Amino acid sequence: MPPQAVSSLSLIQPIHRVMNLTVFLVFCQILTLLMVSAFGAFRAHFARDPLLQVQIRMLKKNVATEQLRTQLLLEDLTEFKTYVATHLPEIIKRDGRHEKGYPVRNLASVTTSMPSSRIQEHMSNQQFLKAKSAYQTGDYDSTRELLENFIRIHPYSVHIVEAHYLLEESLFHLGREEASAQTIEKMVRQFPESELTGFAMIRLARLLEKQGKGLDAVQVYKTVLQTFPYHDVSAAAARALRSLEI
Amino acid sequence: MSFGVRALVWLLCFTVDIQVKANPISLPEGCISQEVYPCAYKSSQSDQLALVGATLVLAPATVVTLQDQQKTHLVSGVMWIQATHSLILTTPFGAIRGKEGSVWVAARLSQSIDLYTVSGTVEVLRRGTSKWDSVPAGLHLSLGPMSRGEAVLGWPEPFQPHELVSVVDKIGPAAIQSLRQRLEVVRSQWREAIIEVSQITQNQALRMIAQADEQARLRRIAREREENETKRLHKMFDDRVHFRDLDTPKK
Repeated sequence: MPPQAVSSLSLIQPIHRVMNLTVFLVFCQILTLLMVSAFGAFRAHFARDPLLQVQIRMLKKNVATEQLRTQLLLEDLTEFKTYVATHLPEIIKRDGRHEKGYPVRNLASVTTSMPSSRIQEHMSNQQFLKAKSAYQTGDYDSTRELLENFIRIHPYSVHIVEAHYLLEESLFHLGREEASAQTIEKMVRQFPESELTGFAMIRLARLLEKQGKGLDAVQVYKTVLQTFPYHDVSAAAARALRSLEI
Repeated sequence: MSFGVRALVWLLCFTVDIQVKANPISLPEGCISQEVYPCAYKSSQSDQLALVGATLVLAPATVVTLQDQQKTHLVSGVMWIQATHSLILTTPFGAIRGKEGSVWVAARLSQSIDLYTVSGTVEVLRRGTSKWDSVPAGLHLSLGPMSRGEAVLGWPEPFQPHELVSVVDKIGPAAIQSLRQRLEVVRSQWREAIIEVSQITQNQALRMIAQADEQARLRRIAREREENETKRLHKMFDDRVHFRDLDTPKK
């Protein structure tokens, strides 16, 4: 037996001997009553106003009602997303091709199914980040290989335009100008609205300059200026055009 | 027991602070009792709703929207359904229809909906399709999110009793008791359920094999069409980039 238990027993036994059992129980009862009364008085002191209690109850109820309302609105949103996901494949088949279909394809890239798409999205992000870091370290051969795989496996990724742009740049740095021009051509066809396509077209113009086709390059710069008048890319095109004219 | 102890117990009975649980919430308020539809309802405890189509036992914090007496939408949570006539349970990914006398459990605890058929036959309609698939008793299947314009319907498989018990346990002891009574009947149908599942799987596999050739042919046609289109655009782009005058006839 632990020594503490022994000591507490030795304390109780003398009290029991001194008091009759009934007296002891009555004493305990009175003590409990006093403690409960003290607790009641303590509670009443800090919660005196019953009106406040009612108000708190009403506010709690309002919060619960608002939470339910929010949950129902989220359910409506899920219904809407599901509705879009039901009809999108048909719309993509009908109107999702080429330049005009870019907005639909763009929408499709963010409305794919939930659990599997999250894994896919995570995987595609990881692959893209790997390719990007390889590009930043100047390992263009690895970048090319990674991006070609990325474009093949994740054609509907949100990073697809950037992937094409980095691929085109990597090919250019590797000296594969023909392949680079082909990638730019693909970008013009598939993502005509993207600013990165504008930057890629500037690269194309520089390729043309390099090949001694100055007039062709000027025309490409002018096309960029007309297509993206309010973007950074137009400033870059304007600078390149001025230097060419000088 | 001495008088003192009795008095003490009596006193404590009146002084113990009993916390009463929150009340159920309905929108619009009181729509359940007034039978106003549609009616959103969030259960507080293991609540029971007796409708014309079925008796629903909801787990605490389950949210449903009653469309009418025979149509309910499950927003979240777990419910035990005992169809007295016929009940349609809708979800964003499809609908479940319980025929008269059927007993089933529907759970929406994540993105997908899990269905456990305890007795009777239940039918499932996937979103994006128009055919009701029959699900016999003793099976579990999940109705998942959208893929290629259709909701994904998992392969049906005989449910694992311990898995179902853990789901039903969320509803409450009354549902567990009902399940215990019915599991004896389900156990006798276990063999039939396994045969049924293998039959369904076999039919599906045969159908997929039959579709494979046709799909390959369609893919080939689509690829050829795509290649032709790419060639045409390639040529057009080449002409534009190199500024060949398309309007001037060649000499």
